[in-house]
Amino acid sequence: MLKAIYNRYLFFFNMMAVLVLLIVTRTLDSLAWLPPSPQKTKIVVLNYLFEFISFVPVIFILIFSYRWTVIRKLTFLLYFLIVAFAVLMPSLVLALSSWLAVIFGHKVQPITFNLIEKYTPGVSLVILFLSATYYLTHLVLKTAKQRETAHKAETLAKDVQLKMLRYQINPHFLFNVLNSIYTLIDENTEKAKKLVIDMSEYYRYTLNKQQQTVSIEKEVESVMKYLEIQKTRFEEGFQYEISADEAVKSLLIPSFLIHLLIENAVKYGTKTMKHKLIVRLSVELVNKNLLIRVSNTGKLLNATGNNEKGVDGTSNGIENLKHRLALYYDENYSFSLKEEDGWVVAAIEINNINTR
Amino acid sequence: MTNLKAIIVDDERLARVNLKKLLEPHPQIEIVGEASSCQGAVDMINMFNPQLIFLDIQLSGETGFDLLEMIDSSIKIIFVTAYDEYAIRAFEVNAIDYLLKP
Repeated sequence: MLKAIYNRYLFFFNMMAVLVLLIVTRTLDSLAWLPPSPQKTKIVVLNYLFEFISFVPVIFILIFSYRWTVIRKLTFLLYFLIVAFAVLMPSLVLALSSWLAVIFGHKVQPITFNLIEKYTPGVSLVILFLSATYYLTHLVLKTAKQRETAHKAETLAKDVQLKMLRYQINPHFLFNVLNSIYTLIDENTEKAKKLVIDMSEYYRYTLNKQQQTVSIEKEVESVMKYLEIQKTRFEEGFQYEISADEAVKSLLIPSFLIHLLIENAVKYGTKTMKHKLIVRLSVELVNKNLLIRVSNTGKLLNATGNNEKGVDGTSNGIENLKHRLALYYDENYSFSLKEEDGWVVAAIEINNINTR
Repeated sequence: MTNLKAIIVDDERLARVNLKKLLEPHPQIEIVGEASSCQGAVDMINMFNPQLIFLDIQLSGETGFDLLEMIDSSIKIIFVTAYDEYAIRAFEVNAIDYLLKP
């Protein structure tokens, strides 16, 4: 629990640590130069205590204003703030500590221009020190977060590749296709040859893919091979339609994104659709937003919402898909899966995609 | 020896063709009909009154087990499937044999 509090107020604690260190060294320093009389020691310690307390609100102001500029990536404003604080904060700290001293009934010198002038350089230095501490903490956190994100993206990409492979070696799919090829060799040699080629290209795409992103064109091409395979298997019982805008073909998306939706559409579609299964894919650009829609005839099974493993050992991968979308597009995406008019529709919308 | 009347139930036509071919060397089994769904199978059964059904387990939108609930239990069933995870359940419902697709 303590660790959680520390993580939450990391900046504050780091800056307080620096301040404590400064005050302690300065106190020891002053005490060493003075003849140690209890009266003087008390005055020095009290003065620094007031100063320490006066710095607390200043640290809060620093953190909030620096954070505000860093989040909005206003680097110039950040530098401006650092200088402004170094110039203005000393007077504030001085005023606060004299006020505290008055409250606790100690004698204080009246705040004059001279006093401010004497006081400013030292406190400015402290403020600059605190700013540097803030900046360093920020940088360390940022690189740690970047490393974590990269690691997570890699893990998820491997995970989805594994899912694809598991789907491909599951007996429902593999043995039924082999069976179809076996029959087609006698019945229609050309179709049998094409099925073998489609299968090898579909498998090659999965096995080759090591990159985390892929062009929409390549992904759609491979999806088409897969749908062709299903078409050859189910003949009249299966139909597919693909439409992809020319403008989106070169865009990069997380690999296997469309595959995952299409394979789910076929898997759950064949389970819930008695007669003809129709699968539709459309990829289009609408006002700079990328829209990927996969729909199939059939019903939405409850199992599609969670990560439950199906009978063939493949989970539906929707969780993986959402995690990867969140990693690549932050908040700029939406995913929905719903049933409307006898169609199950899975839709991904990515806002303001970079078309370059 | 009397011929055994049989029907084949599988949602993939190619699989049905395949099975018919495999049954050619066994003239005592006479394939009288084929169906791609449970309802189609029930119609076939009413029409030809077969003694034997070659039944695929995974059909589009339904399973072979659904058919068993619709028909007379005296008909002998041989399950034909590409995978064997349903083997135990198949024998619980009185299947006389279990064939794996090539």
